[in-house]
Amino acid sequence: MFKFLGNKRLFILMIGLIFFIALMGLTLGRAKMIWPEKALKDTISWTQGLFYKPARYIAGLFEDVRELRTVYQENRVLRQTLSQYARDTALLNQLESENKRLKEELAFTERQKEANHYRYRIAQVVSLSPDPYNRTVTINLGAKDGIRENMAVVSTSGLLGRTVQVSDFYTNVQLLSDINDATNESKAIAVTVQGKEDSFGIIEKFDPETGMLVMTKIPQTDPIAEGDTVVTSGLGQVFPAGIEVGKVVSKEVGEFGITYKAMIKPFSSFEHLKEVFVVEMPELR
Amino acid sequence: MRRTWITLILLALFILEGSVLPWLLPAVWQSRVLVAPDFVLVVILYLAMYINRHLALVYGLSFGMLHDMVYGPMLGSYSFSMGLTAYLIGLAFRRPHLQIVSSLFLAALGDFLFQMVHYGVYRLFNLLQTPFEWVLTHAILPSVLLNALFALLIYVPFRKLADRRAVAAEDPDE
Repeated sequence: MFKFLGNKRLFILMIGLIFFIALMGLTLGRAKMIWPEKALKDTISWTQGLFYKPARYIAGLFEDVRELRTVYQENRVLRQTLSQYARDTALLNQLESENKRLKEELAFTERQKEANHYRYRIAQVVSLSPDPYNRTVTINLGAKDGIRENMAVVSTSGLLGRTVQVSDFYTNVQLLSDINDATNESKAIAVTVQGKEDSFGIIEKFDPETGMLVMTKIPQTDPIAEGDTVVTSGLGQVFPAGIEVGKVVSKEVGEFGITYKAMIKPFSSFEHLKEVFVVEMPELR
Repeated sequence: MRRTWITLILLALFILEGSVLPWLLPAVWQSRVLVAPDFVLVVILYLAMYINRHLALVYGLSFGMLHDMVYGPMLGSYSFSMGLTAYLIGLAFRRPHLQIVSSLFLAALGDFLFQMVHYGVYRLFNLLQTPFEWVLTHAILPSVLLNALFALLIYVPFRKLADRRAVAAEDPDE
């Protein structure tokens, strides 16, 4: 036994193991970075930003050539959507003015009126982590631009993730494809169905084998059905309401048979990211 | 002098891994199959095989820590796995006259070991719950193949560098 421990190499390995396990345990899930870390993060991200954009343009060139055939089809669909959009805007303007008038009549305070007024801040992606299980995305907005932890990040097609670690000029974003219900590292998202707003469910994990989000805790009487569009409900107070998440692919009885679970195909794709938007909610004080 | 160059090359690889590689790899390799480029690790493994395992240990620990600080959900996971892998490969297989096939095999073995330790650490801290069989076929083995390809790519230039160094100094590190 003493001979075993007397082996210097093994002893150092043991010390190293203890040290690293302690370090990992202590730093897991920390939101605050210390200043040398922040400085390092900013320097590396700045340098990576120099390379990410040219690489993106060159790769984009090849993609454009490949997509040339689908452009015609896409254009036709877009034109149809545009006419629909013009009609919707007219209706929306009318409803909005009516809503405003009613709120004034009911004497809403300024804070209550502003509660659903979100700001979308555009940010460029500067790097992507090579770690296969934790594909952290770095964007070029930071604490100096008013970004904090736990803000929702969306792409043009839907919800993408949330900000986790903020340094002065850059922010790490945890993608939806890395969320998992066993750890404090990820936040569950309260969701509902577009058009059936009394529906309720929680998205708390991503299944990498099928590439779908798992929505659980759906009540038995819930009207959710296949093909419905799932949006955030804002009940969790982390994500703002009304951001599109994905489409329901299947619905089945959940693990304990009391509630239902649904598989959701996310609208955003999580690879080859270019620009993303950070959603700024008005302060809830 | 040489070490400055090695550090600069590793730093450049580290930066490219996060910025250019996501665009070079097809989108399918980042969603259906999770391919991870560990090019910094491949160079460190070569250092362990041809130059010195202690140097490789130090590089593994420090570049792992750099990764943890820049991307990681926690400090120490990459640092530990990279340092351990580099040291073990250097300890078991340090031969300055390895042929191309065996050094490729060792680079692949080292990367495989690294991926296993990495997955183990994440499972231990419950950061992922994906079953091992799926990860083995969809993440670990494809990554090992990609990194072995990179190892093949840099074999000749690295070998030239290491041989010149061995002739010039008759291996001063050990």
